[in-house]
Amino acid sequence: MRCIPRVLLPPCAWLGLLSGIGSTLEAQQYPACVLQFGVWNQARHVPGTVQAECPGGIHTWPWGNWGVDSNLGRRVDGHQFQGWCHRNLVCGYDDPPTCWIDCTDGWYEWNSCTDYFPMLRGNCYYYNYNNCTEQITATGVNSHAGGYDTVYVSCPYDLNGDGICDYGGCRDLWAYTIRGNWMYLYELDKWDWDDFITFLSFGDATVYLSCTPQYCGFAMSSWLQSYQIDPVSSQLALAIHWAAFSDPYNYCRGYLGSLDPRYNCW
Amino acid sequence: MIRSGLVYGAALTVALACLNLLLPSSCSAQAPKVVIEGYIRQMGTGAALEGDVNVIEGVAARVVTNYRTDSRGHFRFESAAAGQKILVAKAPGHVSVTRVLAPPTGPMVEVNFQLAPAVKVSGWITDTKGVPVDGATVRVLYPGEPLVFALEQEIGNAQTDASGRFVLPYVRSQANFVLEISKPGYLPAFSPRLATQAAEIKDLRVQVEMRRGGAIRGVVEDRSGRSIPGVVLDIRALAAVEPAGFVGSSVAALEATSRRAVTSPDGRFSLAGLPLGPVVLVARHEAYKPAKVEVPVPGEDQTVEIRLTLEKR
Repeated sequence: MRCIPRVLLPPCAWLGLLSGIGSTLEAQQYPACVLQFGVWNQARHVPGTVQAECPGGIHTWPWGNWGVDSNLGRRVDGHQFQGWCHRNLVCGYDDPPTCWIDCTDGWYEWNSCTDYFPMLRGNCYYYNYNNCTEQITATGVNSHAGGYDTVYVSCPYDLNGDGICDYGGCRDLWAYTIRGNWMYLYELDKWDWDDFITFLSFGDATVYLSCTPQYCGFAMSSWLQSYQIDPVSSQLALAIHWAAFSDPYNYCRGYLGSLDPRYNCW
Repeated sequence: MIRSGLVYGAALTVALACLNLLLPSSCSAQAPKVVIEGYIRQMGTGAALEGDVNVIEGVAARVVTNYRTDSRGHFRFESAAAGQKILVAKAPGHVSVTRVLAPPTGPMVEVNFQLAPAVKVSGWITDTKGVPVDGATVRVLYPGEPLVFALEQEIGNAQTDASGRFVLPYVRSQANFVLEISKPGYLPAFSPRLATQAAEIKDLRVQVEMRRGGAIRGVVEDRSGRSIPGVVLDIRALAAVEPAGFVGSSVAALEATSRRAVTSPDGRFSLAGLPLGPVVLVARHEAYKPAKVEVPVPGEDQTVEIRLTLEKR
């Protein structure tokens, strides 16, 4: 296994003598780099059979908004895994055909009852891809999970005496990996239990960061294809939206800076 | 107390850094391992919850690994013994629980979690004149609790619609909390203390004072007056914007005080919604020496114009 190069640290051995004293600092008082991450999906494709929202119930069959439970996210009635039906015109088989506007709840919905009359393959009101035999999303990237992580880091410090921090802080961060990503997809029901659709798994997503001691800008991983392709497939990526150095008690510049001017930098 | 804490904390953190304990556990292929196991159960009933545990480790190369429980709520995994670990246990319909584990001293550690059912909180945000606050982000803060690791749907990140309506589906039960509201161009606003006493809170009406921030705009040039595109400006506002008791735990405050701008092809940049008071800008570009400047943001809705000159490396 390859080791990450060690973080360059300032001379500080003398302070190590004090390390046995212990710490009474609360967690949020340590200098940290706080980052916001998001887990995204795109290229949502439903080639297979889904039978979650079928005739006979109280629901607006066959359409449904899908939600995602995942390794870093919770299922919500939102835009987690958008489909393609959004205020679409749908007509029946009667003559003359009765037509209506479907999917009027504001979501991009999926036909969640495939291979069931009248939602048979080839009916372009119910399938939108591959000669109306499959479904594919009509929208782009969705975010189905995310959060905030506080990474305790060393204090930023100035190597060349220009008052600008060169190392430490958020620059301690080099890569961020989420291992073994997975999703459980559900068709969401307001008035009933959500219906399980399928399970998707992915590999590890790694983002390589480029940070100054104060901040890391946006970065994202490559897109990962789901291991499963039937009945649903998708791609997943990890994004770091931002990361910012946090020292709310001014411990680095205030305290360490009073001991060593190299910490008195921005 | 804080002063003495800072002394000890300084010593400890720097000593840890000197010992290079900030390194990722990925360096420890031959290092001792520890088995971590336990159960996820429902608070109060003790019923097993099928869920999962995220383990967050390392600094330079941060890694989040997910382990799922069996149907009895039992999880077990092996991990490098070195380094601090954050464990986040979650289960459908329940609010997650976070534990921070110090480096274990034995070969096995038992960690059990009790999760409480989530409370759905929904309502409206209005300003002091009763006007809906639309297009804002609403998050939940729990008093006295640091931000360690938070899942997006639990901290909120809910967007208000045109009527100021928001929905927070995963708020802790039997808890005091504050809502923080952030909106582009405005300073973060915070609700009074609220509490979840019921299984669901509907039609909560929260009135907050939405104050516009100040703005900075300017141009970055070289000595000949030629504008420089692609200059990264890290901007740190020094004013505190979070209420007492939430220092270091408010995402909105961090977002408002730590900003980044990049100069456009004509070397210009602008940033709005900055807290009033001193702001430090550090400009970086690979072909130029970095430079810093401190400017005051004088008042709400006021803009400071600056011109920054960078020297060639």
